[in-house]
Amino acid sequence: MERGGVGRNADHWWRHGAPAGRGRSLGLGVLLAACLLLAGCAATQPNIFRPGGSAGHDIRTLAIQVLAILSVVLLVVWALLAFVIIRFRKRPESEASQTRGNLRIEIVWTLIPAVIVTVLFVLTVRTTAQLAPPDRGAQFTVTGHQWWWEFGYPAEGFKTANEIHVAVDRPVNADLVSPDVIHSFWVPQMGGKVDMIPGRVNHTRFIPLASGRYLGECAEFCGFQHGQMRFLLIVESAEEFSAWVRAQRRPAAEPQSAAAVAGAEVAATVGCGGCHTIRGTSLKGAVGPDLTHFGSRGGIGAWTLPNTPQNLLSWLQDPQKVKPKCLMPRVPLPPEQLRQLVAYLEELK
Amino acid sequence: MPAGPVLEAARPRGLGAWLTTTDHKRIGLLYIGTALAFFLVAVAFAMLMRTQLIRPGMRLLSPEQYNQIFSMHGTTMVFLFGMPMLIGLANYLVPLQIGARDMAFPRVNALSYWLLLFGGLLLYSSFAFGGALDTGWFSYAPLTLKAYSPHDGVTFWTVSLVLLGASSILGSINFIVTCLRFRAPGMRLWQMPVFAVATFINSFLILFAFPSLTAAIALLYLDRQYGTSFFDPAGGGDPVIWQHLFWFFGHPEVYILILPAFGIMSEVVPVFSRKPLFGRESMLVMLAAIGFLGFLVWAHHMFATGLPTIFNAIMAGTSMLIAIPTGVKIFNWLATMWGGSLRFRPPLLFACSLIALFTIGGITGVTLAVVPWDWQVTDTYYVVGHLHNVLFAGTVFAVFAGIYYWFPKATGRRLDERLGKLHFWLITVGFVVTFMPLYALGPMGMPRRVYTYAPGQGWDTLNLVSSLGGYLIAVAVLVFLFNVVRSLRRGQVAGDNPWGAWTLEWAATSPPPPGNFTWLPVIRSERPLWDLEQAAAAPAAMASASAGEAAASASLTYALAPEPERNTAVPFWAALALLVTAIGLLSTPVVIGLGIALLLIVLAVWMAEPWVQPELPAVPGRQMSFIGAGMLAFIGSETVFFASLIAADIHLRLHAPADAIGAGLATAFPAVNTGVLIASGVAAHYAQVAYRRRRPQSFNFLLGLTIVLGTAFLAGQAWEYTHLGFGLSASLTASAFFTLTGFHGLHVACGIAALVFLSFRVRREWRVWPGAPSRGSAGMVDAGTYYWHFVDAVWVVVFVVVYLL
Repeated sequence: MERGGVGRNADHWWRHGAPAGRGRSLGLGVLLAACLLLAGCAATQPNIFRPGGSAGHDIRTLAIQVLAILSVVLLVVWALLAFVIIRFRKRPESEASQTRGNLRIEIVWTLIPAVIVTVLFVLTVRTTAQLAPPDRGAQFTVTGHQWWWEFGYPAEGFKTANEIHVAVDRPVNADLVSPDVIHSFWVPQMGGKVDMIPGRVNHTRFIPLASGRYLGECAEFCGFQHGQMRFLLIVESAEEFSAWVRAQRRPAAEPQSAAAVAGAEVAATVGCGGCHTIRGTSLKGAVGPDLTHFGSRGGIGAWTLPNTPQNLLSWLQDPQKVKPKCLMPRVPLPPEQLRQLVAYLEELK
Repeated sequence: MPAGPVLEAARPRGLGAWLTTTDHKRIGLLYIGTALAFFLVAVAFAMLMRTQLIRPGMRLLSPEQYNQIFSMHGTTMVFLFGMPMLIGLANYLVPLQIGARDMAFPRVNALSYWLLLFGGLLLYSSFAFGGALDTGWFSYAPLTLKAYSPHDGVTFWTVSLVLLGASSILGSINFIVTCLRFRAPGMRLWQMPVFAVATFINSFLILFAFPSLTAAIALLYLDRQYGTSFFDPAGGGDPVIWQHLFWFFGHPEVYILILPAFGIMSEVVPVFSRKPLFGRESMLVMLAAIGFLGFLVWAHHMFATGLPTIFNAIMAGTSMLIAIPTGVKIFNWLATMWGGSLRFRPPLLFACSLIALFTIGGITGVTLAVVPWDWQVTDTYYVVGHLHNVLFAGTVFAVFAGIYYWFPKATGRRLDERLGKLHFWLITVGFVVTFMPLYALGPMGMPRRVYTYAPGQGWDTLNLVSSLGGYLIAVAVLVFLFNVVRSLRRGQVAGDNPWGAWTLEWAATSPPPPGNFTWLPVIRSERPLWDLEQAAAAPAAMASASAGEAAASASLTYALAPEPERNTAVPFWAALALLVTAIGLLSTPVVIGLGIALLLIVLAVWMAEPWVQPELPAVPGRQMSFIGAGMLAFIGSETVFFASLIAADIHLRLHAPADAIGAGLATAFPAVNTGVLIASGVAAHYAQVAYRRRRPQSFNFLLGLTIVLGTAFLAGQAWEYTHLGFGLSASLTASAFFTLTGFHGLHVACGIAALVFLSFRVRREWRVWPGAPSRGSAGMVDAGTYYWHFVDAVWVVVFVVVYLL
């Protein structure tokens, strides 16, 4: 079975070759994505030499060409250095030739780098132009916050946080904004990063070619927890993507278990609504991540921790201990209420 | 050659000698010692960082601590180690290399050093006042605004950088004038040793790059302390303007850190290959090319910010172009070694290691100009690998080569060679083990400036390896330190020229006396001592020449009169006054006033104290006074400062929403005021004419008129400020108005103070030497008038930009 560039973290990054072409990826993608979602695997290794999207592939190709050319230059320099060191050590001083220069040689070794630079420039401009500027139509808006990701689908009427799904083989267009400091949207396996700069709207566009789970990161220093500001990009079939959109549009699931029902009550009374929204309830805060479908997400605190009940309990007990200086304060609650909250949140699928 | 007697006038000893020195050699050593001390601190920070990253989830440092440490590591390495070390070496060596007795402006030279020390100490004091800079050495806005960085670390950084920038700019003016006017007779500018040429070119880079930084930090200071919105989108500002201003400085800055290193390479490689430098003319041209191109590439740090594609493409092209002169230099060094007689002493070992490893850094730099690749790896550990590759395996290795090379000249003793080789191997291996893994970590997705990372992403082993390499580097540095300390007292005694080198510094004793030389060879080429050797070894040729030729060629050297040591505490006090002013910028305006008052007093003493300039080589023909030349260099720097502010202002007003821009300004009163200022400029011009024609009454009157009109202009400005009805932060127009006219007014005020001092100085001179040729004031009169005309010209531009646009 072809690997198809899917992001399992089993092997070392240098062992993987180029992923399969687009046609094969589609069928493969469905199969593999199904396996993966069922297997519930962890976040992937974000290696740009294992691209999963069009831009990622283009850049990888360009990188190999550039690195190949420049490696030759490096080897030539090393070879000359080695030769010189070996050949000309320990000679008597009288044998040192007092040459001051040689115009012909100097012209040659000025022209050769000039030619190399010209080639590299042409390759660069070609690929830069190829990674075409984005369409005007953005499907979703990415808002960078200190230190989490907000994904908004205005047309469909929902927002989510820290995890996003897209359909394979379809162009993805996103607007990138930030209300606070500069962040940078980067999914290494999909392509280059684009900064999110307060006061302007940047765009990113890429075509995911292989289904899977891809790690995204903030790539511009944005303060204390820049290092723990991750998100997950899940590439899946068109059907699965539509299903996901439909699920996200629904308001929050009603709590089923007794603990979850009690947890809903706790959430409504201890002030979670000051920052968080859970659509369909009284919580309508806009400062922190939307928790409407929190239970279906794989991470907590922008993937500071995987989303498990135990981790969620630690997080709720003291977010400052897990992610120091993050903007969620510690709200001391008795252990019983914390467990109920965990039960409630995990049922928000 | 026998050493002549050195004047041992009653000079201060001990600590006092160091505090009051104006000898370029002592100042150089002060710079170098301070740089080494800060280097150790920054290396310690690096060890903390690498330990924090040795495995995922490490809790040695909190995110707050980590962010301060990485920010201060970078800032220290660039501003408190890299620049002072290179400037210190240049300070020590350039006058010696060009056959000068000292720098052109010895007191300003001392002032530059004390500004560096005080700036560094002020920066570090921030640890005790709520935390140091924690936003990275290039500190992007809006993270650095008060809303997101409420503590004072960023403000301390901006104010300290003003002191450090002033230190660097004054230093570069000194080097430019010294190289232009104080070379030994017969030495053409391009015949200076390559290290001196590199320093000369570098000084222009400093002159034109630093003002952009000064403008940026001034605007940041105003945003933080006075509520302006230059970088805050809420008020119409633009965070990207910070990046443009910073990187317009920041990119030339890294060339400022490498050009002298290339200069050191070009000194060391020929001497230890026993051959002349291959392709010397090309090497000098390439140095200038790198320096020039370095100003055209800044936006390659901003490829991910969403600038227009065509702009990115241009910047990619210019960035790749720099690879050509750099590559040529590498080939020239290799060709210098080719056919030579290689002596693998530590200087050449470091040089070879630089060639091998810096080339990787140069190559990865070219890859970073490949825009799509940059989009992937910028802001990742790939860049951390690249920048350390060029600065560590470039600058630091060259510095080590230079220290091993010139230590005997400065101390009279050699560094131990076996320890030197141990140091070399440890640090070369340590460098490779620490930094090569980073080139993999970047493409594997590890962003930079992260205080920790998650397990299972494939980054664990490489980080572990890198940290172990870091410890190896620390051991190497300790070995080096031990070598230095030990060799100072017990090193093998070196003569004047232990390496058999050919540039002028090796004609002086080890260490050289005040005044540097008791004799100098006649300069015929860029290798004066080689020429001397060759001539001395061919007496038969002289015997067969005609009588006239024989007489001429017999004089291969000439003696020099000894120079006294010059000690004065004034530069120290001037730096202290500026430090007090800087502290005032961090506390209250009262302290600013105190600092300025102290400064005015010190400057009065400076102008009044008896001072003998170092001997200026007699060169026929009418030339601009060297003080005037220095002033022109300063004007060049200030032009870039105002241009940066104006560019920022125009950009903001072009792109901001209308309500943020604000209403226009009344122009009638300022137009009149402009006339007043221009009239003062006319008066200044005729004052200069009167001085040259030796007409004291006219001169005094016209200079006084200039001062009065200038003061009237300032009074008019003050009236306007108080009757405007809006403040600094009311709108972008208001901010631009106050910033541009404010800085301009500051320049006018300084100009008035300077002209007041000048009037006293000239009066005294004419009283003491009536009718005699002018004793040094001519240069100052020139300088004062150039400055005043500059202030006028800037006002015209500011007037147009602020009132008419």
